[in-house]
Amino acid sequence: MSESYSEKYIRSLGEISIRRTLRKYGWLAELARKHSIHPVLLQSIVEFFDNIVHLRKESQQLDIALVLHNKQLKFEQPLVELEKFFLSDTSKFSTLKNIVNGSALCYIIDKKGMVTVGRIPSNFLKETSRLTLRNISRIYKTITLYLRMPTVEIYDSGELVRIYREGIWIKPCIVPLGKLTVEGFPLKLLELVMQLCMKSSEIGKGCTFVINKNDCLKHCSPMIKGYKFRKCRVDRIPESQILKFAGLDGAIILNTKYEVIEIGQKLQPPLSTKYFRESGRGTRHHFAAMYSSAVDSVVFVVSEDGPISLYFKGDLYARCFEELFGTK
Amino acid sequence: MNQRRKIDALKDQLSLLSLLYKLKERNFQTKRLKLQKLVYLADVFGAILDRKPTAYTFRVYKLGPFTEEIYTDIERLVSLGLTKAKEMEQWTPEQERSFKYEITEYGISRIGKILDMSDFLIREKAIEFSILVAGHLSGTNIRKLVYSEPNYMKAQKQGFESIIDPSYESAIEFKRMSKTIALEEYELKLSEDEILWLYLNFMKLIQSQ
Repeated sequence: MSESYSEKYIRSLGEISIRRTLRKYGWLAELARKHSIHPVLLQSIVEFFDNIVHLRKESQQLDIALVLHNKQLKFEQPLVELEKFFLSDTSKFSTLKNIVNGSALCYIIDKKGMVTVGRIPSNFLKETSRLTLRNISRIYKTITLYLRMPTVEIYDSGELVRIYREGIWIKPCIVPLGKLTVEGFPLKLLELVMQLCMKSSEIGKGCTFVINKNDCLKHCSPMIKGYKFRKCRVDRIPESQILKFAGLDGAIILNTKYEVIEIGQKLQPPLSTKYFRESGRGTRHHFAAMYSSAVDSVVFVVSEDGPISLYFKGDLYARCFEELFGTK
Repeated sequence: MNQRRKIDALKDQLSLLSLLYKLKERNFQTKRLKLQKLVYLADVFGAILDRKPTAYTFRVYKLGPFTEEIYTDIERLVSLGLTKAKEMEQWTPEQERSFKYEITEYGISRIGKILDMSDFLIREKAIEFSILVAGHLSGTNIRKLVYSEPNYMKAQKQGFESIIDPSYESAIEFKRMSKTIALEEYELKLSEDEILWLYLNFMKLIQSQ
């Protein structure tokens, strides 16, 4: 007997659904396997956080700390006792507002999806809730989630495994900087610039940083006329000020002596320079790659929608948050 | 209606009791309509797991899958004092007379022994999963979820009161398909839990269409 159209349609929808789920939530299934919890429960937790971020306005700050219960977990009696409730009961979370935020208390969810409040042992507490949640996940080898609007972070056994941004669960930013230090770029400076790039990415501001091996200002020119920038050590400039400089058109140029030597610079490498030409990327990326080929430097490009690209010797050296391309 | 064997009826009653116990554990409530849908979902998931918790035969009815046998069995549990039924003061005409069901303290004291029985343990997983995904849903929302269940959709096309294939072939077919895709395209050997997870996401996708 031949199949009716709708049965065929349902079957093809089934195939789409399987592929879509495995592509979107493959990481989640892996995490669920590792911790012997049902992937449906983990997906419910993740979707619960999606919804909270979507439903609340940015002005309504909400901090939530959540720990997945396992056999090792032993928390003290909470200051606020609450009858167990199912994860989907969002009114309970709203009622307690920000008091269960990882500074002393956290939500504990069991494998049946029932939630309660626990008091974090004082010796587990760190300077920030984020670090405390990371610490708990490391000590108990469990999964913890920390929401600080508008981002959510998932830790597994002490490692950051996912970040929720712009409606997507993205991989955390891990850039192997070792090779660049061998090439003569100081690790601390690379980390500092990377940190600035992360901040720009979080606030959705595109910018370019260049670390040159020397004070060379070859192949660049000021984009804004009529000012003179005084060379200054980067650690003497407040972070907020550097981010404001980064918000100007053009790149911030640093040297390997931790000095900012110029701001608002247009990169103008020779057009004949050989470089890795990546399709789908804009002029800023092409010029950054070309510049890194022409001048002994590392170029950091933060795109407005969040991805961070590092160019070195004309090649794409590393990229973070690639999933965010095209989200804005 | 087919005469059920006594042993099947007894097993089904135990499954119902277990379901009510799991609802009580989580402070979830159920009325007649929701109970029907929870049992239906447990049976579909059970078919995927190769161990259906009940032997009920569902039909396409006004508000989704329905079987009279559940009412017979729940009344039996009520008469044994294992379950209590509270008639709702307010109910919509489409719900007919509505009762809220809850396991009694006596029922809880008996269920512990039943849950330890090995024969029962293997059927429990599907019930547990049904509660995890739908125990918290309202009657309306669980109905919407069940309307997106492929076996129900297939039977619905045959018309009112059609029997829903008790082997749940569409779910079994999905199981085969997901195993193949996961292995061939993702080099992943799916666990039972993961197949149920994929099936639930499939139902949600249909629901969103």
